[in-house]
Amino acid sequence: MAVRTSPTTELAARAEPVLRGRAHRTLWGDAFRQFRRHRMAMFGLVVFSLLVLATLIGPAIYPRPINDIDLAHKLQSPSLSHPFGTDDLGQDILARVLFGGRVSIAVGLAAMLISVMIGTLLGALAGFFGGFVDMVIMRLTEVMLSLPQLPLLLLVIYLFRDKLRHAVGPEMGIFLLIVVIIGGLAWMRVARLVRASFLSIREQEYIVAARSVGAGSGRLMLVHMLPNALSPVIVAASLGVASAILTESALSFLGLGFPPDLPTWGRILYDAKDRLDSAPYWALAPGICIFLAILSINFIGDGLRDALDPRRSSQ
Amino acid sequence: MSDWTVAELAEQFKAGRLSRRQFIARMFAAGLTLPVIASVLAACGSSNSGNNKAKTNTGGAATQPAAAGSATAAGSAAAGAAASAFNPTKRGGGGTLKLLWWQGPTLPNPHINNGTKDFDASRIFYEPLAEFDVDGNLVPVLAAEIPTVDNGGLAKDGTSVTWKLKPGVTWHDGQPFTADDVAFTFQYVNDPATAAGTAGQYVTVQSVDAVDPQTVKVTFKSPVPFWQTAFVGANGMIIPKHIFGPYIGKESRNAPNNLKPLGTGPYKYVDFRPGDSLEAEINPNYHVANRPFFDHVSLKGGGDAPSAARAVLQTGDYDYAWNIQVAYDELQGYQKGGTGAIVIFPGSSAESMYFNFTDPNKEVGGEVSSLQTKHPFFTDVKVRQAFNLMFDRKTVVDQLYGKEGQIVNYLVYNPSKYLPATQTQLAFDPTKAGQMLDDAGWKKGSDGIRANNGVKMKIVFATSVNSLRQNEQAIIKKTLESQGIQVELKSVDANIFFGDASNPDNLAQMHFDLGMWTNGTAIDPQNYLRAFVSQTHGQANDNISQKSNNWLGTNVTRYLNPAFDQIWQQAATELDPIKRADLFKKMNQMIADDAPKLPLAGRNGVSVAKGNLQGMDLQPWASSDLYRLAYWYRKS
Repeated sequence: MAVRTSPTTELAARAEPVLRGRAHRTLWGDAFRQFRRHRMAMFGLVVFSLLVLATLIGPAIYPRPINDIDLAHKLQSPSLSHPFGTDDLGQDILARVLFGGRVSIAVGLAAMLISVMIGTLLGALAGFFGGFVDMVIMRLTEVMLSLPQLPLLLLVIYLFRDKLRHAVGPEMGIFLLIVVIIGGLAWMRVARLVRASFLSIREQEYIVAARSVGAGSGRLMLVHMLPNALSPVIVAASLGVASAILTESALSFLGLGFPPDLPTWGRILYDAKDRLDSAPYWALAPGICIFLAILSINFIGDGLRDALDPRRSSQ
Repeated sequence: MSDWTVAELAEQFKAGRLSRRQFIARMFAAGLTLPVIASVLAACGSSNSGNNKAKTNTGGAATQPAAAGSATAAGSAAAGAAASAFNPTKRGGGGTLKLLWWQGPTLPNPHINNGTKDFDASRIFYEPLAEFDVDGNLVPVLAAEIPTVDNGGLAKDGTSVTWKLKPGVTWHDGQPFTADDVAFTFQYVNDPATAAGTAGQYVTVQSVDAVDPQTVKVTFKSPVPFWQTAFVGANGMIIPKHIFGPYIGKESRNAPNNLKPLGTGPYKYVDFRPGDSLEAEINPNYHVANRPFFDHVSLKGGGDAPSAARAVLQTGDYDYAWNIQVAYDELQGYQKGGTGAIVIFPGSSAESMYFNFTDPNKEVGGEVSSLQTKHPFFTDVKVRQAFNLMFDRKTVVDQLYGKEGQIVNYLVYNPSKYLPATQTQLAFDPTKAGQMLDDAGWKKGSDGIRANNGVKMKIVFATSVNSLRQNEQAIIKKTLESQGIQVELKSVDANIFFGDASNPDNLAQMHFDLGMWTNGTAIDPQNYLRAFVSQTHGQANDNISQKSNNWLGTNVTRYLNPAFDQIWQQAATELDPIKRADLFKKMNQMIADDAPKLPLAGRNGVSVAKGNLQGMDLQPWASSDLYRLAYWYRKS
């Protein structure tokens, strides 16, 4: 951004050094500066980026097939040829973990995005308009909260799996289904958080001021209120990614997730659980990945919350 | 002769139903030597004097005539077992027996239920008239003796059989067990509206009449070669008339006692939660003296095979777990350092591959895999035989099953007398399979997938959730894909896959092209082979699993072969055992040639038990793993 200077006025000249230090700071710039100071958050960002990068380009660098059955070399501990060892069919665990990460992270992020979008939208509407709208949305939220997630998930999968399978193929179909359902069942917490923030922000002077100069509802919500209500949303979102990855594992566990030969972190962990004592490295690889992914996302969420919290960015 | 026949004799001797002389004579007949008999007598002696409530048994003590014939080979083993056999002097005292069934029972009614797990649960409470032992000989349970031509029980022309019932047996509520109950059980099962799953075992029966309270006569529609189906084993459990009387026919599902079993068995109902747990307590009036040993039986359902194996072998939380389909090396790993034992016993079942003859991708009248559709390629025998060459049985058995399995070439491999004289060996040859598919018109397209007339060779390959099965799936998929067949794997929770047939994911609905699961023959393969027959109740295709019969028909592959039907019908009436065995051999060969269903691996029975749990006598011809529950004990 260009610095607005006016050499003709003395005032401006005197103000210049001060302006150079402060004037171009934006909300997001501030937040980023704040975020960078948060060590754990930076650590989380690095780790998570590495994980994403590894799953994206890993299979290209480490081009071992994920389903190369080699029973002569089954259940081998980590070695040079199999850095993470092999499973009970002699398949390379590293290759499977790399590939499985794509699915798991994609499920986690996509489901989180869906839940955050629905939750924020409904929460914002409820909090902003209040009254009847609020009542309807909040009762809906309560109904959704009282629904047991897993049985509902099973029901929906039974109803729609075959239709989606025919429409977009087995893997894409189950991906859409899982993402939509996990996301569609996790927005309630976000909605409540956003509504609560909106209720308090609505009464702030700067909102009254914005309203008095004629800002419309949409602008008020998007520009003036949402950024100030974001911090709880971001924390909820980071937790949402973690729970989506875990829910996908639970579905694999019930045989309702992806086809059994498609490795996801949850599926690999599930396959490995019976060999925990004889081949712990098998469970270790996906386990550590899930652990790192969830931990780093939580750290990132933590850092973002601190960075976006206006009360903490006094420096 | 099995060791428990000796125990049975000893029991009767102790109870005073056998004189000392009769007892010794029978033991000799069983091939035992005098010192062994002396030791058994000594073991029984102490209790005999105190046990004076001997009942006068009109029919004399029951022992099976056939037992002596097979005794010589097993003589020494039986003697060893007899010497150490458990001969309690009083009932109970064993504490709680904790069983773990990873498919929890859902409906413990022996005639309207959902498969093995429910037969097992039923067998805790209900009993048949007789059971088979390991050698295939009948042993009485609720019968006083086994009917033979010699004792007048069995009609020479094979048209009727007369059972003498064991006297003094009561139901759990104290009512006497009589011939009326047996006759009622037949009426109940035979009423089509009852929709009994066991009805198939009674189709040959014309009527069952109570001659007197202790005698029941079974009359067959026509001479029956294998009469030991009605009231024998898993399908023969007797239910009380005074309890189930009002719930015959359409009302069968509404009987409160469907969930509160009340029978004559060693244990009485305490509590039942479908799919979860079953509690039973000792029956103080059980009709076998000094049995059972355990005071309570607690059966926990749910989980999966590996965790069940661990709960017995590693943590010792349970005494016994059944049907442990877990890779053998894995089981051995669990066993290390623990006190549990892996119990392997011969089986008659095979992990099998099922081809769907109807189209699972078309819906006709709200029904998938309807008989009105035809599968695009599995109806072609050449395609099925090509697939047959792509199942790597040796790898599956060697790498996954270990001692729990064996390579078999025929679906009916035990009893081995039904194997054809010259046997086809199943081969593994994917290249040849590819050529066969080429010849059959299924050539690889530009995308590497075989196609014919615009139909691609894509299959959904389904089985239950079980890591061993998922490994089998992976191995098979790999071979199939190498030959240009696109395979989508599907795994369904075992409770659903093997449970209620009205669930779309149940195996009977066949929402897949290729299926894989295990089943096996009883000692007489007639009923097992019914699964390839289209019509058994007089209506066209009534045995085909389909919507109109709530998918209860046993022919789940929807296989139609009039020639097979005919031979099967012939075997159902052939009285000459040798000719009948030939018919079975012929059917065995027909299935191998026509390949509607193929064996992948023969499976031995595998259970896990605490090391000190004894007396299970597991064998393939029993109604259930629990058929000897009254005789189970804990070695101190």
